[in-house]
Amino acid sequence: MELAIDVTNLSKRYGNDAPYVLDDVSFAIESGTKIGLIGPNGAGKSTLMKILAGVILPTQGSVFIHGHDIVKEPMAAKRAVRLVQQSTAFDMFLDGMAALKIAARFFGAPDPARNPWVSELLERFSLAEHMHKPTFMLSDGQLRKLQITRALQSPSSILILDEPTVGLDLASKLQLTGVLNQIVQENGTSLLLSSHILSEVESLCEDVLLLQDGHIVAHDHTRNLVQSHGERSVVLTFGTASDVDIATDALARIGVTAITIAPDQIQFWVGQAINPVDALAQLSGEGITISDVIVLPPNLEQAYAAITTRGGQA
Amino acid sequence: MTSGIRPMFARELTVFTNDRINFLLSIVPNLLYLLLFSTSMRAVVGLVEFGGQSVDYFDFVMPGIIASTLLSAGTTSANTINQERMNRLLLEIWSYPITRRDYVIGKTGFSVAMVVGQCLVMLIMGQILSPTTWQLWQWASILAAIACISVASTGLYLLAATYLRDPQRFMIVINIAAPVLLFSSPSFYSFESMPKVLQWISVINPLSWMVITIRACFLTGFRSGAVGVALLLVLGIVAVIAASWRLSREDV
Repeated sequence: MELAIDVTNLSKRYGNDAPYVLDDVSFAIESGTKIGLIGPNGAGKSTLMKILAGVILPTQGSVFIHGHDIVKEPMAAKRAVRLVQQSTAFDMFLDGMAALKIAARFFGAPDPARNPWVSELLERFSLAEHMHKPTFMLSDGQLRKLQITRALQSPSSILILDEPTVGLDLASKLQLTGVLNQIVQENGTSLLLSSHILSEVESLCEDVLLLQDGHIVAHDHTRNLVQSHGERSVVLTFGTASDVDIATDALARIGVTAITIAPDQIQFWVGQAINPVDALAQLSGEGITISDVIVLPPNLEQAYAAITTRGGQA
Repeated sequence: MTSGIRPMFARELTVFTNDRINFLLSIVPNLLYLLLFSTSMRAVVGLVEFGGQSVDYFDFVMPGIIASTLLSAGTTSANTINQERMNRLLLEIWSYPITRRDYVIGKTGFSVAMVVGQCLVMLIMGQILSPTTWQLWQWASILAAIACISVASTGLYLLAATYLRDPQRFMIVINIAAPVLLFSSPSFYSFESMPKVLQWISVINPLSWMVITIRACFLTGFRSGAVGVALLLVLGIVAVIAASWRLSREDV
């Protein structure tokens, strides 16, 4: 399959004496892939996205967008990419439709006022009736949806989204997920999604790229990463709040750390050393009443925590 | 036009025409200057000596007011770079298929068009207040000269904005520099009547050369200002290239 993004030995620093924000990063993304870009604050995610979008240049290394060198053929590379940056940047006195038209002109896209796909997006995002208001009169959520519509109005090979769901209500988030899945399926668009809401990344992206301190510490299928680094967790609900302390102490004796998540609830993680049955057996002789037991599957959040807290490779 | 300049120009036009504050402030103050300052000073001063001939003060000062238009258009254009940098629009625009050169040329082109439009309005008002017998070609040549000179003023301001990236510092420097540039140039009085210190400053003040060139075109014919126009156009092109180069090295 054709590579949408091919990055080799990429490094970036802002100034000759500054530390490297990205240090010798290499990875490749196939066309039509949905990949999550995750990592702690300051890991280099935004810098990487800006380089892929052709906004800033690498200090070292090479970046190819559908075979176009981002340094030598920047225009061809940039035509393939749409960026939804973290800030909702608009000329505040323009109305929504004028803002869309400006972006459309740069990409040679059809007039958004006559583009059925734009009309559909505006309907799905409940924006149609707000398009003639100056953007300073729109809410944060409406601005975010307008920003996403601006990026999606014309087809692209690669869509880069930096925290796209910030400010969106649940219905809008679901609409966005639907739209993103649709354009990946219908157009073969590659998706690079950066988010600190890891459940969103886990549900949408089949692959994950984890950056930490400017290095890639994990690049794998989301499912593999979760299975190899995530752990199941158990949530116990007790008959009385006083049982919480007794259960916590009992679990501590077999090396399990439980956290209190409600006055009558604890949660603890079980891995290879101990399984849920062993844990419950430990509690059986304590004279406490367990009213409910929920075993939760491993998730990306746990895998992320496991990898980033030990600061090593996956 | 390369692919990025046309949409950049169109963007500037759309943003400008939707911003009623900038739209009005770009034209009304200079018209008021022309109407109030020039006519009242004309009544006080009457005739001034210029190039060995007596000239109506209104005609003498018109190039000075056009020069102040160049300053305000340059400031407005350069200020948009800092505003766009501050509210992350630069990141948005620069993610589009556009080079930094296209970005600067688009901004310069729009600023030049705006100046030409403003000056046309002022010239029409001037014609009402102090009728001339100019032929159409003279109007066209004056506007062409103003367009070339405004490349220099806009280019220099845009270049300044690439050095003064802090919007507050930019506004302070530009607002302090504006009266210094204006009053240390022969905008409202002749070079000979300026104090010696101001005359020295005037020599290195680019606005002086702009005023002198526009005045030469106005009062003694386009040909007498042609060399000045050409030199200022070259200065403007150099400034635009330098600003583009500076922005191409900027990380946002």
